[in-house]
Amino acid sequence: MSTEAQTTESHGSPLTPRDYIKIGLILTVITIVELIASYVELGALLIPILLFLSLVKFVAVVALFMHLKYEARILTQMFVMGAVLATCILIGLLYLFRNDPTDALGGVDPASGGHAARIWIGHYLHI
Amino acid sequence: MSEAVTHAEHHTSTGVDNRMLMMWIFLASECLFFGSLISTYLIYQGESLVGPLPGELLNIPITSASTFVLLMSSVTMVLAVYGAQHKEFLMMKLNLLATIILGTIFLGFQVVEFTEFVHHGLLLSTNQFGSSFYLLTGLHGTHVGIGVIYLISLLIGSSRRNGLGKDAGLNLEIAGLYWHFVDIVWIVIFTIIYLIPS
Repeated sequence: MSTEAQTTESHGSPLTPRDYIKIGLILTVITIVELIASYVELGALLIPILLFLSLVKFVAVVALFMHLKYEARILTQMFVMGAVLATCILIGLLYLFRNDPTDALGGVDPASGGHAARIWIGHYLHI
Repeated sequence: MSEAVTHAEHHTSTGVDNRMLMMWIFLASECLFFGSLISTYLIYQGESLVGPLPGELLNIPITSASTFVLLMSSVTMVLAVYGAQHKEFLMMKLNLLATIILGTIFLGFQVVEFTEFVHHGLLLSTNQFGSSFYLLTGLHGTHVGIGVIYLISLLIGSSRRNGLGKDAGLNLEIAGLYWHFVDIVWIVIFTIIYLIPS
């Protein structure tokens, strides 16, 4: 593929400045909703809601601002692979420390519940 | 020969420019970098035996303002990229300048926050919260700082007689990828550290 063709390919986004500003406003509204949600008593729903809203913003920026939606598929594969591996590291490390019977991190009384992270991640992932 | 060499430099079997591919690979590796740091923060969460603790220090309204600033810098960045790709260079420069200013304001918020925390007795070695918090947000801030320097270099380069050359659109797009990545990392950090109660 020639340089010209490659350059044209990277210009594939059909979005206009007006679209970008609209997306920015939507992301701002989502952030405000997140902020309100963190102050409202939502109980067990709070964390899934916040993680979902965060994921929506994450995907919107990657797909529309970073133009991944309009780029070659190999770039999506590349980035998703990194993001998935990072998520695996996160889950793996939390699982590892949750199942550490020695609680080597600092003498927290197991009866008190131990790691907050273990509690909420473990609760939702059933690990 | 020279023409053949030039052509060979740009031809890729993937159909993607090498520089663009390099940036995406770099960002994929950055996912692992920040994934490890976020994991560390979560593992240490609730483990601090002495204060100050997150609930006593974290100022959600102020951080929401800085999050808004970084989000808006992503909008100005994408508008700068649009300007470069459509040869609207005034639009490109103004939005690049706005992105630099917004990025610097974000860093200002972080300096104020860190200073306040230090005054409350939270140092890197105070407890697990201090070490994991400063490491994660500090390294993110470092990324923002590097991004600001990167964008300043592009703004200075665009002021030269030849501007950023024939690859202006591509150069801006690659810088934009880095900047947006810094933004999405903050989206995750903001939710995990500030919004989810510890």
